Amino acid sequence: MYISVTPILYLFAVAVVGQALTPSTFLTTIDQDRLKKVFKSSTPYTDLPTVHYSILGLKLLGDTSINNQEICSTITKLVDNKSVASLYHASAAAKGVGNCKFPVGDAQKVLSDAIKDSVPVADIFYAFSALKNLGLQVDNAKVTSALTEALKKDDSPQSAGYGFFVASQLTGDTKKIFDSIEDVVAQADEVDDKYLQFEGGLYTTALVVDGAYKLAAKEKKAPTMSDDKVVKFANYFLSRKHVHQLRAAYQLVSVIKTLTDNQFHIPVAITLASPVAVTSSSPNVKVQVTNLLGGSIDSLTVTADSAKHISSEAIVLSKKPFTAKDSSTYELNFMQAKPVRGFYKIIISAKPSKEDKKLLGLTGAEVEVKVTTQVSIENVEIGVADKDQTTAARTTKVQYPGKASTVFEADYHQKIIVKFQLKDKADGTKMSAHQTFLKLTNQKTNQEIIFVADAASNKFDLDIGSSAGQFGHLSGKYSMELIIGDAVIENPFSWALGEVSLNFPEGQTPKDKGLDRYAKKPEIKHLFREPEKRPAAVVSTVFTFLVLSPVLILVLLWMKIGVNVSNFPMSLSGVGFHLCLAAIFGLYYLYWVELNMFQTVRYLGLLALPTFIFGNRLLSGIASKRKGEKKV
Amino acid sequence: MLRLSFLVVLYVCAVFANKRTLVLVDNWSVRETHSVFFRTLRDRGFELTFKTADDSSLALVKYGEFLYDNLILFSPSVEEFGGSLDVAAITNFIDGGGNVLVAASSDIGDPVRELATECGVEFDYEKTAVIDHLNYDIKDQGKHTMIIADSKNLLDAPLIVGSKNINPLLYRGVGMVADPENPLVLSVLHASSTAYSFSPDKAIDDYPHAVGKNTLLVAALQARNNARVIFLGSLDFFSDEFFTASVQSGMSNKQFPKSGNEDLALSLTQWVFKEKGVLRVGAVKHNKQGEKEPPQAYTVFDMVDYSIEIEELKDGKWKPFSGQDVQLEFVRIDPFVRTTLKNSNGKFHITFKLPDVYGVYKFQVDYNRVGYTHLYSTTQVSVRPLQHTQYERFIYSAYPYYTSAFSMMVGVCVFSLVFLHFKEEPKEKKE
Repeated sequence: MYISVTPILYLFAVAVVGQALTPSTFLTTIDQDRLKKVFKSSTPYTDLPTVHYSILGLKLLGDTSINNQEICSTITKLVDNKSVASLYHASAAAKGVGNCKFPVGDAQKVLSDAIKDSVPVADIFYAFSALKNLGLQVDNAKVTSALTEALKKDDSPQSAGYGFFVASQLTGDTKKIFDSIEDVVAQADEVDDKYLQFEGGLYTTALVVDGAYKLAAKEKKAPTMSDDKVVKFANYFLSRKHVHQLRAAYQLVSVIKTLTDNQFHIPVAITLASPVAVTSSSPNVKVQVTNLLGGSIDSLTVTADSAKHISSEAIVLSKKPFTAKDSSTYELNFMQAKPVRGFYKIIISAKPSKEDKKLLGLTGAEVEVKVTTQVSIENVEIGVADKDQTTAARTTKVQYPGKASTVFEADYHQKIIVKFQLKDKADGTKMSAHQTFLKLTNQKTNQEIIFVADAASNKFDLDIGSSAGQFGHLSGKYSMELIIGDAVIENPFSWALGEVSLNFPEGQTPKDKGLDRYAKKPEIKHLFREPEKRPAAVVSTVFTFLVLSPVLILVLLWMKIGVNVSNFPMSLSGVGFHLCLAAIFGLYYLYWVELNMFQTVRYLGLLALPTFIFGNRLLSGIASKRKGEKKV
Repeated sequence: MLRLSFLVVLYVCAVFANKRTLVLVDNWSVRETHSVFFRTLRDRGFELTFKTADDSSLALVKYGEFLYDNLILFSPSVEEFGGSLDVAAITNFIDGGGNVLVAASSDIGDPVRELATECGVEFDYEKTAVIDHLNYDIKDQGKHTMIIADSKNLLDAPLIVGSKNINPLLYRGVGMVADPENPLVLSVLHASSTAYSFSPDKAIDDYPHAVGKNTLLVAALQARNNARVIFLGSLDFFSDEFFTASVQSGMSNKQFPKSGNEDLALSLTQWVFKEKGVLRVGAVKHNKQGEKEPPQAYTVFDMVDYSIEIEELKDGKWKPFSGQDVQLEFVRIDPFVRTTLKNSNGKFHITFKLPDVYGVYKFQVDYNRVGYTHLYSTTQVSVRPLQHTQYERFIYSAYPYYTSAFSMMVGVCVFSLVFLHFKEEPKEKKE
C-alpha cells in the first residue's frame, strides 16, 4: 500500500510544485573562493571555535594551504581540557588537521560525566562528538537514554539537528530519532514558495538537514522529506551563499557537500552559463547542469521544453534538445528559432540516460534570457518652428553619429522639433525604445533639462515658451543630446546632436535663492560714525582771547586805581572761606574732568559746611567791624 | 544584589550612550544577507535590537522616554507597522533627536514613502526602479536596474561620504527626488545623466518621477534639532553580496575588483548615527582687553576679547575642533560685526572694537556646515553709551567756552577777595 502511494505523490509533487523550483545557481568556484576567504579572514586564530569552523570549512572546500603543524600547536595552546565545549572544538579541529595530538588530561572522565540525563542536547552533542573525535570510550546506552530524555524536553529544530548528529554515530537503535525527521522538517517555514528554512536561520537549517542525511546514511534509508522540500532547502542554502559568519558558513558548506554526495537525494542545479542577453553574434544559450557544488552529472539529455516571450506569451520553440558542450555544459542556438527581441522564459528539463531516483529537480527549470538587437537611428531631423505654425519648419538632417554644424536659434515663441526613426538593424522594422530622452545642457551652468519623446511617433515637440520655467529663464547656449536606451537594445547611446541657442525674455530670471546656508558668511566690519568737522583753530584762538579780555581789563583797571586787600583779616575764617570757595570751583573742574555727579555732591556737601561757617563768621566779622567804624 | 544590578544597568547605559538601535526588517533573512553590515555596526559598539516591522510589540517610546537612539528601517515593503509604531511615531522620534537610516527597494510600501515625504524626499512608486541603460553592471538580470553609480556623483562632504575616491557603487532599487522647497535635504549621491526612474516593464507614457541627475540614490537630512536621517533607495546596497561584489560595466568592460559600497556604507552610518561631525561648545569667555573678568556692561568703543572652545567627536573622544572658518557675530537684531575667529587648538578667539551704538547685544557663534551638527552659542551683554567723563575733554574749537567758564570762576574768587577786603585809602589825610 505504502509503496504504491509514494510514486503517485512524487508525480503529483512534480506536476504541481515542481515548476521553477530547480536551483538556478550553485556554489561556483568564485563562491567557493569567497568562502575560503571568509574562513581565512580570521587568522591568526585566537579562539577554538574559530579554528574549528575555519579549518573544517577549508578542508571541505579542498583548500590545501593550511599549515597543519602551526594549527596543531595553536590548538594545544588554546585548549582547556576541563571544558567540554573547548575539548569538542579542539578535537574536531585536530581531527580536521589530522595527525594532531594535544594533551587531553582527564578528558575521558570530563566528557563522560557531561553526558547525563537532564542536560541540553547541545551539551550531549559536544561531549559525545569530542569522545568520538578523540577515540575514547563511549557508553552507548547512557548516551541513548540521555539523548532521548533531552530531546523529549526540547523539541526545537536546533536540538533535533544535534540529536541527528549524535544518533548518526551511535551504535544501537536510533530508529525513533530517525522517524522524528519528518516531524522536525514539518516545522520549517516556507518563504516565497521557494525556500524552506527553520526559525534559527542558516545555521539551524543547515544543521538539521545535514544531520538528517548523516543519520539516514547510517540507517541506510532515505529521510522522510518530500523531494520538493529538499529542493526548497537547497534553494534556501544557495540564497545564503554570501554568508560571512564562520559557524554558519562551515555548516553551509557541509550541508551542500552532503547534498551532493549522499545516497538518497541529489538536487540538480540548472544554471544559465551565458550572459542573459542573446544576440545574433552570440546566439547560444548555455546552461550548466550540475550538482550544488558544480560537479558534473553523467550522461544527461537536456531539452528546452518551451521558450515563451514574456510579454506577448508567444511560444517560439518547444522540445528543442541542447547539445552537450562538455560534461556539464549544454548549449542551444536560440536565434535559430528567429525570436523577436524581448525577454524569454525557457523551461528546461534534463533526463539521465538511465533513471536515477536520486536526482531531484530535473524538470521545469526556468532560465530567463533576453534577445537583444542593434538599433539604428535614421531620418533624424532637427528644426525650429513658430508656435502658431504659420510657417513650415525649416529642418536640418543629421546623420548618426555626426553633429549639426550650425547652431540652432530659438526664442520663447518658437519650438524645437526633433524627429527620428528607430530601426531594428536585424530585420529593418521600426521599433521604439523605453528611453528616448532629449537632454539639453546649459553650457555655462551645466544644468540639465531632460525631455521625454512621444513614444509612439518618436518625436520631440519642445515648446520653449511654456517650458521656460524648467530652463530657469536662462538664455544662452545649450547642447542637445539624444539618449536612446532599452533593455533589449544592444547599443544604447547618448548622441550629441548639436547646439541650440535659446532666448528668453529679459527680467524674468527668478530671484536668487539666497545664500548657501552652509557657506561661510561675508564679514561685516562696523562703520563708525565719522566725527564732525571742526572750525579752524584760528577762530577759537581769537575768541579765547576775546573771552579772556574782561578779566584782563579788570586786572588792568584795578592796577590803575590801586586796588588793595589790606583789610584782609588774618583769621582762620578769612583764609578758610576763600580757600573753600576756591576748592568748590576746583571741585567743579574735577566734576567736569572725571568725577560723577554723586561723588561731586558728596564732596560738595563736605565743602559746603566749612564754607558756610567760615563765610558766616567772616561776613559777620566784617559787618560788625563796619558798624564799629561808623560809631567811631 | 539589587544595587549591583542597578549599577550594571547604569554601566550598560553609559556604554551604550547613543548606541541603542532598533532594526526593523521585513523578514529575518535580512540579518543573514546583510550580516557584514550589522557586524560592523556591532563592532563599533551599537546595541542592535532586531524586530520584524509588523511585530505587535513595537514601540519607540516607553513612559515618555525613547527606548532607542537610532532606528534602522530595513523593511521597505511594510504596509503597516506593528505595535504603536507608525509614521507619526517615527517623525516624533526624529523630532526628539533620534537618527534614522531608511533603505527602500522596488517593493516600497506606503509607510516608508510617507515617512520620506515628511522629511522632504519623494520616493518613486512601487514596482519602479532606477534604470540606466548606459551604466549597468554585468551581473544585471536583463532589465538594467543593477546600476553602477560613479563615486564622482557623491556630494562634496567628506564627513558624510568619506573619501570620494572609492570604487564605483552598485545600486538596485527605487529612485528619489528631493523636495526643492526643503533646504535641509542633501543629495548625497545622484545617478548619472542617462539614468531615470520608471517601471522597467511599462512603456514610458508619462514624465518619469526622476530623470538624469535629479534622480537621487542617497539623500540625507539633518533636521534643525540635529537629528539625522538618511534615505537610500536600495536595500541591496548594504547586502553582503553587494559589499563583496566586483563591479564591471556592461557597456565599457571597465572592471573593479570590489564595489565601493562597504566604504560608503561605513561613512554613511558613521555620520547618521553621530559618530562623526558632532560639535559641542566648551567654555565661552569675554572681557575687556587687558582684564580677566567680564564687566557688568561694556561701553561703546571698548576693545573686547572673546573666546569660545569648540570640540569635535572623533573616534568616540572629544578632541579640539580644527575648523578655520568659525565666525562670531555681534548682534543687536542685525549683526553689527561679523568676523572670523582665530583657532588655536580648539580655542577660537578674537579681539575687536565694539560698535558706537549702545543697546543689548549678543555674542553669537552660529556655525552651520554640511555634515556638522548645527553649533549655536549666544551670550547676551549690554553695551552702554560713554559716561560724561569719557568724552573728549579739551576740544580746541571749544576753548572760548572753557576759558570763559574758568575766567569766570577765577574772576569770582578774585573779585570776592577784593570786594570783601578792599581798604579805602583814609580820606582824613587829604582833608
